[in-house]
Amino acid sequence: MSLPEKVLVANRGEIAARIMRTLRALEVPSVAVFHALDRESPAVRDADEAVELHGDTPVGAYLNAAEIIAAAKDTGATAIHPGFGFLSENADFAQAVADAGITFIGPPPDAIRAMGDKIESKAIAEKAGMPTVPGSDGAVADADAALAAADSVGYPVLLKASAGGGGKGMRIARSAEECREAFDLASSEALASFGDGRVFVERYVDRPRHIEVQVLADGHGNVVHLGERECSIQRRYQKVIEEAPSSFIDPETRAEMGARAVDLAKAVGYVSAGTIEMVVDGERNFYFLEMNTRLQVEHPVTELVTGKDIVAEQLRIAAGEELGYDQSAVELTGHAIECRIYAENPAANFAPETGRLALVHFPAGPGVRVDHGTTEGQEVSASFDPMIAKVIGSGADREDAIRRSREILRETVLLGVQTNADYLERVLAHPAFAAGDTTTSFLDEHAEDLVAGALSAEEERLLLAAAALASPRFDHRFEIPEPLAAMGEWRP
Amino acid sequence: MRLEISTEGGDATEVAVSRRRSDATIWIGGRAYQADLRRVGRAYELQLGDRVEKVWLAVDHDTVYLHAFGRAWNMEVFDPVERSLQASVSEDTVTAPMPGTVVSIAVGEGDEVHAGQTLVTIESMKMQSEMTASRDGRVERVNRQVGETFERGDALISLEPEDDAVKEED
Repeated sequence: MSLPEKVLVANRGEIAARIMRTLRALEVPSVAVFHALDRESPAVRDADEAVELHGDTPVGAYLNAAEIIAAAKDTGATAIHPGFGFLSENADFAQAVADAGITFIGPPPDAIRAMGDKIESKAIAEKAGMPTVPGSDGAVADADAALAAADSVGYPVLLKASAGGGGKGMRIARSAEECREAFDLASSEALASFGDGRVFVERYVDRPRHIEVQVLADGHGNVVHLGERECSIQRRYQKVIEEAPSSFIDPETRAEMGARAVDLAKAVGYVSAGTIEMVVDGERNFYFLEMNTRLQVEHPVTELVTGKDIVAEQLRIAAGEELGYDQSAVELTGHAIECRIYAENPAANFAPETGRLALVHFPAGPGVRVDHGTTEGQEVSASFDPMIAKVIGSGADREDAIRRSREILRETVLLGVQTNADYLERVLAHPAFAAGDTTTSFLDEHAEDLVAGALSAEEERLLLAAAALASPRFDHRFEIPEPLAAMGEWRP
Repeated sequence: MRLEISTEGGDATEVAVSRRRSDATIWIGGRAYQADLRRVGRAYELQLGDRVEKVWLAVDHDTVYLHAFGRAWNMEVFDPVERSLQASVSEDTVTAPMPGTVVSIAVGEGDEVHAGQTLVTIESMKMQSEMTASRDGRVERVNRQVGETFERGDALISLEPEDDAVKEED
């Protein structure tokens, strides 16, 4: 297997640790980069070498392209893996890395650029034969043009910022009156958030599912897809539970979605791992949403049902190897579910939480995978994304994967910071989730059912007893024998 | 003296403990139970009466973090007398409702402000929100600069205590 000689991982947290794991398994020397706050993190500990980065903010350090490229040169790294987020979809960074004579483990800058713009990528997708949601032909000039476009595609419509993401600059309109107002709001929000007020109009798909296809492309024109992931369970437009395969997709739809995704990847000259996100309506019609030109947070569920290490595939591809297999060799076996554990309070509209992780314990065993970059004693601060870990349960079928994932969530111990782990367990336990009735409005529609139930009187007594026996307050009053205290034993 | 313990910020229950060598008697809401907490690996085995439960725990001052029945619990231990002596919530500071970053600061130290006036704009969860003065007064301290991060509960802006402000006007 030919592989890059030495790889710098330009990321942090769980994804940096996860990439390091494959590098170690393949015996590829690794370089970590880190902001001072992450000095003790597992990724830094596991790397062969580590270089400190600097920035105006901790996040800024990981966006410091010049320092990252300099670190690669200084350590003799021949390739840079950007992970996800940060610089991973920055075409200028990919270009700068290439210009420095270093391999960017990802697609060519042109492919990143083409897919980075919502209007341009939609046009390319359409030309490649990928269905797109009916909508305006590019950005609309003003509210009147938005109204005309809405009339031709039919209400309800969605007004979306061209440069948008994460739900910003996005408005639903169900009538002409709402459309005029929605245009103004979306446009001004887009201008404020992205410095680009361009807005386009498309039909709004009610109760949609969010399903995406993983593709792998080598530098020799070979492209395969690794099936789909369903990522419909979202809060604040962010995924929290993802699974593979989707219980909603039949083999014919899967083959069709996969073929369209492969054609799109070919059309943009794609190389490396990429993901084509689609919105799917109740009749299994799928429409192009966007292409993520990088490794995806939820890639582990695909790895578990295909048996492929996607990071290893990226490394092979970056070293110029051919995929070496075709679509017929890609088989899906079993089912896998990923739950993203965030430091947040589901009862307060998922507001982020901070604190010190006083105790960390993850379960292990067959069908259990945990990707995390935490250490006990670590501060979960507002400086970075509040995702603590991804726990992935897999099994022979969906029911098995749900059961195992629920066990993992119940056995994951994270003390000192509030997390959404018990909330996610209630989502998996919900009959509508078991039935596969998963749309992007799931968490809103079932909000009342997802509130924690009341404790029994006995359970509450057990908690009170444990707290009392553990608390130093009670120690102080009742436990210190007088003679010992008189001998001067120090107690806080 | 007895202490009180609350579960997940709910109502407090009166609890007392009397220890003998290895086991203890616990009074919860006036009823006595035999109890024992024994370390098993990194976790603990809690016995209360006939019931045995595996628990994980971490103690941080008066907060006891527990993991039991498949989820985490936040227990607060406090002395009701001590608590009543603590000052009531002050209107003198603008505290962060959640962790985030300072986007802009609209006032400087010494500025006169009126109730409802925007003092600082913060960004949390990718959303911006404006923090306003809860009363008229004068800015005593600006505790964070633009671009700095903060945790929930951090004081971002402090106003001069109301009594002082009145004196100055005299």
